Amino acid sequence: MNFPRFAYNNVKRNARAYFAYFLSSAFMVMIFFSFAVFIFHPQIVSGEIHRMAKAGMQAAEYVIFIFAFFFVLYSISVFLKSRNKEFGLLLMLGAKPSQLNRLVFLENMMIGAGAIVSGIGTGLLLSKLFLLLASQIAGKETLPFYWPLKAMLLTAGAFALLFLAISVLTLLFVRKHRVLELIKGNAKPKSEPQASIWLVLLGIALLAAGYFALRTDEVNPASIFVAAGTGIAGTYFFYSQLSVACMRMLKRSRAFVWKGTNLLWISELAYKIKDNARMLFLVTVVTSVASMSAGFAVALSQQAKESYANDPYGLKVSYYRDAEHREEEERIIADTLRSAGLEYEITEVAKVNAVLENDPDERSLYAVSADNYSQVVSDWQTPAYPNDSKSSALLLMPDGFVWKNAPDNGTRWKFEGVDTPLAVETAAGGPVFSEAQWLPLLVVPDEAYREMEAAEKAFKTIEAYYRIPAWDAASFDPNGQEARIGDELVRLSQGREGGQKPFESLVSSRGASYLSGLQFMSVFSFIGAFVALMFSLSSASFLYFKLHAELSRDADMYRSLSKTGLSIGEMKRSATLQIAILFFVPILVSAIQTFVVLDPILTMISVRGIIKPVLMTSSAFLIAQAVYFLLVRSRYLSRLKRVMV
Amino acid sequence: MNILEARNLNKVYSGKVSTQALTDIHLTIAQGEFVGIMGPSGSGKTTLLNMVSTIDTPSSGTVKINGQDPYAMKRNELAKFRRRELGFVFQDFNLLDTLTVAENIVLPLTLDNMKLKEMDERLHRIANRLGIAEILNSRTYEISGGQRQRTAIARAVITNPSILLADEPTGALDSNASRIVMESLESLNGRERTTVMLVTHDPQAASYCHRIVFIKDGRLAAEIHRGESRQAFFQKIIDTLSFWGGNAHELSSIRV
Repeated sequence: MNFPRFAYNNVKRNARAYFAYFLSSAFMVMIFFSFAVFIFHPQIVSGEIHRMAKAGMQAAEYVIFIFAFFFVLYSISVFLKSRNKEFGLLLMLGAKPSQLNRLVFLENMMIGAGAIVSGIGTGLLLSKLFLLLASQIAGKETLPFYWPLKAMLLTAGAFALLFLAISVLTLLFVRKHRVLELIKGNAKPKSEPQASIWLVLLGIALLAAGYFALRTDEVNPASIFVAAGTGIAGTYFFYSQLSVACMRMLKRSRAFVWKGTNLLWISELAYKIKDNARMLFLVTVVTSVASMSAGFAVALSQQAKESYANDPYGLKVSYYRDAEHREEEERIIADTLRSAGLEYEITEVAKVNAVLENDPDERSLYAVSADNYSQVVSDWQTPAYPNDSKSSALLLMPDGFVWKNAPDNGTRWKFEGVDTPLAVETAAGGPVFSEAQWLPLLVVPDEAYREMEAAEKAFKTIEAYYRIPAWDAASFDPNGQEARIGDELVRLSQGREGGQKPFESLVSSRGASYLSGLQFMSVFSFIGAFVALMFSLSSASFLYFKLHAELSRDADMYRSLSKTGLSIGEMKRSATLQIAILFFVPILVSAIQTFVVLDPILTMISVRGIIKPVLMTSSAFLIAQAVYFLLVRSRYLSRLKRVMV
Repeated sequence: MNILEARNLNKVYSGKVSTQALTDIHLTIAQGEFVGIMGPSGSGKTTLLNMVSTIDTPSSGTVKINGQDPYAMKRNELAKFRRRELGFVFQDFNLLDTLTVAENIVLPLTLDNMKLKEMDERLHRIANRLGIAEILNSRTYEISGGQRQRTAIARAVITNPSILLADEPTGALDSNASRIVMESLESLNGRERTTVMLVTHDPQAASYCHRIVFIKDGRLAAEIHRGESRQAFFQKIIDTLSFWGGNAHELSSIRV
């Protein structure tokens, strides 16, 4: 029997011990592969699906890979630790350390190869389902199954590299142990978890930095990156250092700790948290990312729903400048609507850009004449224009629009080409107006409007608002007439349908926007939820294997305690509390993190009411985790119950 | 007053080959007594101890501890009974690595939700008595074997149990530590009137007892009482063992 053969037999005949490690590796390969199948799908490559959804998938792929690396690294370190006894035996029988290294390396590569093959295999089976689900959720026609060669190559290549790197890294784990230590294995008592005061402070500083980075005046991509980096690092220190420090502080309060089973579970827990810090950290970060993306998606889809509800116009068409083809385009729209048997009514708003005179930034606003405004004021539900005035203007601000360094309200504003400066009064436009107009709109006296129109740099836009009573009456249906015709008109205007060349005008349909918003959000939340559920599933099973590995030690402890009078109820309470904290603390921490991160970002992009979506996603994870918890707990307790006398 | 009364104890382990582990054991231990149980390996010492510690049930016969019958109790009641009425000392200490010495000692009291002040009082009294007051804040892996066993004894007696059951308490200790542990037990027995039942192989340890009951093949074989001198008693133990147990040579491998 040569050496590789020995390594092979070692894996084959000891399959049970390797199973957890193999399973978690194969799982990672499978998730990664499923995503790759989606990303490399011909229809997605050709851009049939939302660009953002594709980018989201790609980002998720990177995240999966990075986490797969840590996950596999972590599993193998736990796995190797459980085999210390075996290594000690081999050394005692005269194996050279280099042979041991080779054994571990070979085993790793074998398991890695096996994981890649079986991961891709199950991934292929699942990808049909995945594509079906993803396309269903994306609201597209079913994405056909294809032979994902590229995805396979990418997965195999990426994970081959990963296992190679990890196999080399693991050699560091088994080195420098003496035979005695290895043979004694886990029997020797672990020293008390220690926290370094400096690392605790660093952890607090990192978390605080993350918190405040998002609460500066302006949230920009840089501050989000800072917050993400410090937040993730801070979370790591939270589990490895802060939690230990907290447990030590807690143990100082003897009035609390020296009571009932507290003494038992608190001191045991301190060890368990420290031992599982990396796993808890991974679960927390993944759950946070997923909750954030899901919370974000839910919040945005709520916003999409609100904008739909607030928009009084079924269709909007903007004609710019001279609009040469206006008649033709108008006719096409009219034909389309009429052939669907739809009544409609058009209101036009003419806007012209008003350039602020002597403004260093040369900013301009859109202006509309008071006369024209009076036609839409009831639709928009905006304040009326004081028509007695000849020199005052009304500035309508969309909700959530922040105009930095706006000219003072009190002073009169001077516009290019307009003789009389205007006294501007600012008013909030309200939700309906905000939907119709994304930018501030200045209502000016008719005369001033004519002067602006005549100005040299004048740039005129005419907006035609279509009120379609049949659509307003019905509630929105993603497969209904409004979505269908709206989408058709938008595509038509973009030259994407029926060999038509693109319109010069811009056609937008509230139904089509709502629909694409919904689709994008569902893809987004699907990815988030998928990744997170996969990770939480694998981490829960991993936590279980870890608990299981320590079960014999715990069983000894509970057995001797039961001899001295620990009742079964007390054992259950102590064990349950420990398992519960390991399972639920990551969910709690990630819910808090999600709130802290989402709140300022969503406030900035003026989405409110995130509490509900975040609570919803967190509670979804909570439910999933609760199911694992109950399973793990019942198995664990039934094993412990057997040793109680 | 009798703390322990065992009558007609029989224990049969059924299985493919059923084994009669104990036959007709009568054992009475009075308040304040220090009783040793000796016998060769497989003689049934541990089985007897398990009956008394309520960990195992006899096939027939009765055990009464402090007038109560533990086998008539429900599981939870039994756990409480063990916690309050019995103190255990094991060969391998059975201390929790995750706790400090002080925490290990007060663990049974915390399970009973005793007041912190009273726990502290009892802890310090017992720690001073056993000479482990200086190591109360150490972890169990930082102290010597003798200190560990004294910690275990402190844990066993802090609840003021009716009887202290010690199973080979010196089995894992060197001779000096053994001596200290046995002297601790002797002083607890002498000053606090703690009733002790000691199961041991070690004639040296057994020589601290007032009375020794010998078991062989599951039956009571002999009983000897201590006179004035421990040295004489030790010799008596050796003689009895060699008479009942086969040859003296087999036993003399144990340090003297």
